[in-house]
Amino acid sequence: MLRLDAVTEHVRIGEVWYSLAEDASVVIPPGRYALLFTDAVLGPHAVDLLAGTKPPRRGRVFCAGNRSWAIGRSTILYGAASGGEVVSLISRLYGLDRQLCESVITRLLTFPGQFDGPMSRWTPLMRREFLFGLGLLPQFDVYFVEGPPPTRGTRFPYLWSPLFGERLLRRMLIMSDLRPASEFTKYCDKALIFDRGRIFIEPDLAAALERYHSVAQALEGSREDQMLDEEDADL
Amino acid sequence: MSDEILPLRLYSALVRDAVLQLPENTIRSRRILYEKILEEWSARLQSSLEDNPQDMDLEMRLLHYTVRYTERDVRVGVDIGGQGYIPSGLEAARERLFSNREKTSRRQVLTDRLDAWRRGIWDGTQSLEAQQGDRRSARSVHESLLALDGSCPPRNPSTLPVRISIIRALTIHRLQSLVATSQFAYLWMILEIVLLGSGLMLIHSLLGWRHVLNMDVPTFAATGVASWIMIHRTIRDFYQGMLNSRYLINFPVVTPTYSAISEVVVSLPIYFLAAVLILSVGYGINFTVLPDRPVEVVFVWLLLWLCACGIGFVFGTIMVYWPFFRRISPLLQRVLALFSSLGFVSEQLPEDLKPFILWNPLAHGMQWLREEYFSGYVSTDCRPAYFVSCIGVFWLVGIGFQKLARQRIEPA
Repeated sequence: MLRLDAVTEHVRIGEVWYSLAEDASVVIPPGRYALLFTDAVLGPHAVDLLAGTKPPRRGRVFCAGNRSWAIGRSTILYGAASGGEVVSLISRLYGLDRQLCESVITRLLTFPGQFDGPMSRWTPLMRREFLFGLGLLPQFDVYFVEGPPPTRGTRFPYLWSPLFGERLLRRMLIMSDLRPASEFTKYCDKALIFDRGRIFIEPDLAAALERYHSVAQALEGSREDQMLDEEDADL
Repeated sequence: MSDEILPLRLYSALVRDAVLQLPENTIRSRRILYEKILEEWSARLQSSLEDNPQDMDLEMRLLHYTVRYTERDVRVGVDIGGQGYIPSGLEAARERLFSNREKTSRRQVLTDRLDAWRRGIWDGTQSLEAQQGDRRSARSVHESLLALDGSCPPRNPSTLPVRISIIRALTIHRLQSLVATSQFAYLWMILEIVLLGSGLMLIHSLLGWRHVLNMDVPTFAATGVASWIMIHRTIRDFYQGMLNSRYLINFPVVTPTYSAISEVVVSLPIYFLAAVLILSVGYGINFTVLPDRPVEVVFVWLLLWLCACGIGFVFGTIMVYWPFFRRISPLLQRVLALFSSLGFVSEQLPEDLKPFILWNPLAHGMQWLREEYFSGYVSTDCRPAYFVSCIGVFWLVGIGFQKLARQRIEPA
């Protein structure tokens, strides 16, 4: 369960100030939510606010249980460290057994040969698989997923999807930045909407997607999406 | 006569005998005959080789070839009545068929394996047949995950041991990233400080001073320079650890303060080893002297390091609110250096100039360090209590404002 108490938060992107929350108080009961916005650029900021990695200017975000990082966010792979070093960082941060973590990740990856090389030389596919594989390691009570999980082409989704599905049993999930927006219906049943400072829950996901779908559509067919498609076509 | 040859002779004999028994041997009658044979035999093969479509396909093709080549031989005028007659070209056609069948089945095995691997049924360690129908790969990953959950009870990140383990994790991560850039990165950071420090300390000797208040001048310079480089860089490391490397803040358990502490912990041994190296090499060439009370010297050195961390903490907090402070902080650090007893001690100054030095806690720390290093020097102006309480104040201010500053640091 997440609770926002009188949260006020503004985000500056470029020279424009966006209002993420304006004295918003909302209780988010356990469930599976799709994050939808009036301004699509707010995606990562809303996740930061809910995940507690960016405390709000005013008010408080309270969470029962421990929260995951934004699974799928590529900026956590920074520098020239190897896969083993990232896995050992995560295992030490969350008190896990390092060798078990490493064996899980290497068995999931489609091309485990790159695992020991520096991250800066990994292929985009490897980065995506690694990012989503990491999300399986610690157990969380609230999961945040940013970006589409790999679904096509390689062996990774066959292994990852059932395992992640099991991780989510009786847990909370908040997903952001899926494209096309119809992907949301695979994972989520409700929508959590950030609408110009107001935050509210829309139980009817289809209606919410209909209403906020112009934003989701604007992202479809973007350059990144095309790159992902090309990458899948290469396999 | 091998088994593979058998159908060849059988089909040849079958077709030949049927052709020879025809009452009138015309193209039309032969064509009707062939159709009858093919129809009859395809039904027969289909019933007998129902569960082996590959073999059935091969037999059918062989029969078709036999018919086609026999007809060609008849038209060309070859005598087909001879004993053991096999139509010309049929042997080669049969070879082709068999090798093609072998190729197909080999490719099928590879395709099956690739498919099984992709679906996570096969992990490549055993033959596919041994694992057929067993989602072993997926199951073993699942088992490992369960073992992982069993090995780690959920932790509360606000308890002290967990906080320390988080800082330890970050420290090891930073060391690994440092070594990942170059094998010699750590060594070079030590050597760089040694070279810089030795250059600076020679200035004193060039000035021709012999003794400063019972202190040996090269050693006096070495202690000053080595600890000043440590202080200067630790301040910088602390605020950089806080404000840079924001990718680590993506993990909800990591705060900018942890990140900064891990950064200064990584660099502490560098500065310590560099100082030890300068002093011990100097001692080796009879240039400097050894400390009279080494344990106390290390203790005061660590206090100086803590003080530098506290200053870095305050600077970092200011920079969160006012980013331009990054440009001003080097100047402020120069000012701190100038009034910090780096190149002289306050006892050398006339009484009315002393207040310009003694406001600075680092000056007290530095004089305390020298007092412990040289038994011949007793600092009358140094007040350790002031120094230690300043460290406390810096840290309290840093921690107090850190909660406010945290709201302005975004993960990158």
